[in-house]
Amino acid sequence: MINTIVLVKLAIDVGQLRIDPSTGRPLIDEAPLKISDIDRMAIEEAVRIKEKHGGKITSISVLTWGPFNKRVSEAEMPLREALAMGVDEAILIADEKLLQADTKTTANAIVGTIKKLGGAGLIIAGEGTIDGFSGVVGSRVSTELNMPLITYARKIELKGNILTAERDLEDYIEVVETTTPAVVTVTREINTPRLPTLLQIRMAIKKPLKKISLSEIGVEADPKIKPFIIEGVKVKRKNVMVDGKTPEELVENLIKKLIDEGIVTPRK
Amino acid sequence: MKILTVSDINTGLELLGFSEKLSTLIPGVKAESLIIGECLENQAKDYILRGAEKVYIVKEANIQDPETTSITIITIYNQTKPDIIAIRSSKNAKDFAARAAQQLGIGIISDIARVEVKNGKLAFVRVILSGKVTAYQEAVTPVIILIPPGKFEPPKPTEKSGEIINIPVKAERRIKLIKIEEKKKAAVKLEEAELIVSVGRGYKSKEDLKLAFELADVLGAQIGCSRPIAADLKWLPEEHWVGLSGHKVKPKMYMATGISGQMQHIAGIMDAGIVIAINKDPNAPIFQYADYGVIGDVYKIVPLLAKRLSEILK
Repeated sequence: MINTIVLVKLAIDVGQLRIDPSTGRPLIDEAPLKISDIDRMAIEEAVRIKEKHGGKITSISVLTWGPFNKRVSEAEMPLREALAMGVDEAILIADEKLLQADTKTTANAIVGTIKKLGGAGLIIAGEGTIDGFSGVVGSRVSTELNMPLITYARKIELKGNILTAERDLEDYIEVVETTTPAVVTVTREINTPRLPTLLQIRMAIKKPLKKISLSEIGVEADPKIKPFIIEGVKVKRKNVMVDGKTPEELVENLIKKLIDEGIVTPRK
Repeated sequence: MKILTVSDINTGLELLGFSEKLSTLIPGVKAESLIIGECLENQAKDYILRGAEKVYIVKEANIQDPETTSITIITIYNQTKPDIIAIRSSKNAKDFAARAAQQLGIGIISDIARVEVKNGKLAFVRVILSGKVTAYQEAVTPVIILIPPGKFEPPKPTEKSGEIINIPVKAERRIKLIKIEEKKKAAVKLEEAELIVSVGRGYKSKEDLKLAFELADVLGAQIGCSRPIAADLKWLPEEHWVGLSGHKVKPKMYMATGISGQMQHIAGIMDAGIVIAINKDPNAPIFQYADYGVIGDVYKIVPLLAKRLSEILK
């Protein structure tokens, strides 16, 4: 038996994020939330561990995108999906002070919640989220809880209280071992997450989904990093379409551009 | 403002380039460097010639171990009290930087695109939301800044003097290292490529990629690819993958052949010089992110381009 906590970011669905063509502003408030891609692998891994070892899975999410009221109600769907995948209880930390929270405040809110739950045997998170991609919250959580940390795991195995993992680094794989309780962050390659069945989604309606605020966990927001301007990425490209009716003409005209730009230099 | 660069001996000079850049934006910037692991005296001296007033060396530490590296950073931080800790970004760096930041109760900004003064504030600029959004962030100092490899050039050496200080740090690890398995060495380093010809789903089979290989050969270019080619179809190893989760490249020319231009791919070519797109679909998003677009079938255009270029360059 091991009680697992899985960190689930409700991320902006970047595929559906539009940029206002007249102002260049990203229309973040209108883009929907979804479970951050790599956190699906974290959920899947928690479920596989539960299937083998038993125990309970609690998910913790911090709502960092506004507008607050809209997002609180919107958060239910992705969290139900997590419950349908096999999470037993979902906790949403929702507080206006957490909108645009930095990684320190986010980690502290998560740790406050974990302490309130009485700790955990294993904490699993994705290596990073698709929206912010800071890749530091899991490490911050382990430090705050003074638990051993294994990042970038592409494979993990639990035997008793011994946790073995393969860390997937840029140039090499590190096989490491520690004892639980521990924190693990996982990569995309670790598994293929299951798609919940209709029955599971229906069953998930009965599972508990709790919403808590910062004051309930006794954590204060003390942001160190503040975004002050957010704008659509301006791509300064020439956007010239090369003329030509035939492939031959297109190629000749493209080569002229390549020469003009100094990319190729004719020998003759 | 005091900057502390943190690196092993081989990778820290570009962090002094970041410090040099800061000194053009704000007054009173001075740099010190922390070297993790073994280094030679003259190597440390190079840091001084390129702008570090002091170099701290912790010989017994190992930058490949995040646990002890974070303890080393905290120890040196407490002795030197820098305002900005500049670290070259990598997977392990994110790990140890986050541990140190949390222990010190300070902020961290991952993978900055650049630093500038905006609205009178020192702004660390990040590209977020899969490359769609630029966020200007203000930091309460002290703060840790993670800098992607190759963002800044090492400063030119000048006649300077400074101190080299060896500091012992005691640190134990709780994570037991069982073994290290080397990955197959990447034959290509896309980050350093001058010219890249990149392939996507416009090619119908792995064999057909040879059209692009031949073009790359004529140009002396490296081969890149989009996510499906490396991650799903596995026609090319991951070292060729260009994009948010693959390699971020900055060649003089990037030629996207048969690539539709998903945001996550575009995020990898933000810093490219000239972008050329060849695609038969006039509505492919790649054309919005290209300097020169050619609407045409890669099966016709690419071999013809290779043939004509080989004649011109011969």
